[in-house]
Amino acid sequence: MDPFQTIGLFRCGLGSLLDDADHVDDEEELYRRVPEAAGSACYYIDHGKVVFFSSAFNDVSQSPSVDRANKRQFDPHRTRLRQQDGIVALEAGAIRGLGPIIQRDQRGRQVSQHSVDVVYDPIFGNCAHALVSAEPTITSGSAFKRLKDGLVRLANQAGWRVEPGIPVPPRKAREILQEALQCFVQRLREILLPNR
Amino acid sequence: MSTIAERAWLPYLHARPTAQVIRFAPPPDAVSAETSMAAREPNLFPLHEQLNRIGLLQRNWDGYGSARPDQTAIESTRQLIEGAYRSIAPLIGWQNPHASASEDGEIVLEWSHGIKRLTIYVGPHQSTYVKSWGPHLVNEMEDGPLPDDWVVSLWAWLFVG
Repeated sequence: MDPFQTIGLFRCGLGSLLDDADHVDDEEELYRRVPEAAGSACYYIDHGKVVFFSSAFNDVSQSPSVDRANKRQFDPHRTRLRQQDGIVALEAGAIRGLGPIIQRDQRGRQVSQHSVDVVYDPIFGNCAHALVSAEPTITSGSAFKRLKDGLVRLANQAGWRVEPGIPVPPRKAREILQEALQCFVQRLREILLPNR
Repeated sequence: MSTIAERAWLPYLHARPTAQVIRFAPPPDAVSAETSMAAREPNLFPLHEQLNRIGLLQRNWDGYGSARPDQTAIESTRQLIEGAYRSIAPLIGWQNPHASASEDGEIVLEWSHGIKRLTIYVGPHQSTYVKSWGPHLVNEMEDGPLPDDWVVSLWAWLFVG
């Protein structure tokens, strides 16, 4: 690795230490990995255009996982786990614009209202990880089903960013080092600036 | 053969172990594969095939921790669709839904027509729906338990109304 690359890496690391990296801006792109299973149980192709199913946004915790594009160096392939995975890119502002979720009881009376948000949630091995979540947390299945419906509509508008089946490019040592450095910086932020 | 000779074998029979017929009563909500297969409409074969594939999915099939699709829900879906097909197809035609599975193991049926979308979640005990005519979660969506007359109220809303 040449010295300029090394300097670039540390500038990147230092930059993410100092900026307000925990907040997901409205303009940010988010990558969602869409797996292929059971003859494409998450999408189908209609006249050459992809149409997603609600199952593309399945999540047991009712907060679908996404990756922040800027933390993946705007390379959607880094979000893929397998060659069969496709990637759809959504804008954080559009997700927030889906509106509040009204939770009702069995008689149709409003019980609570949730706002839709995208929150940064770095996890071990994936510092780009974020969650599409509702505040307060959704406990009703129907509210989450509405959220998935809204996400499907956004995904249908966006289409594939990376189509399934395209070989996952091998990762360069520099990219791996860059992500490792970001994860290290994120850990450092959590320790040094716990209230940010 | 004399009467004595006719009955002479009876003690021998009682002394021998005999086979006992045991009848297994299926659970009230169970539908046998034979029954559901015999009743299938040919136009629904692709959907049944997709349900077969969904039935083979294992836990965490999508890498997001989703449950294994519920087998009772799959059978309920077959019945729901067969019934709907018979009541709708002769009158206004039919469009097969796209089938998938939710994180809870429910079977998800989805139709779309223009900007309208209808999603039915078939669970082992109850079914629900979400209908939407735009992306806004409050102003452009409606949900609830699947009504008995869903064919009229929901499916017709999607394609006719």
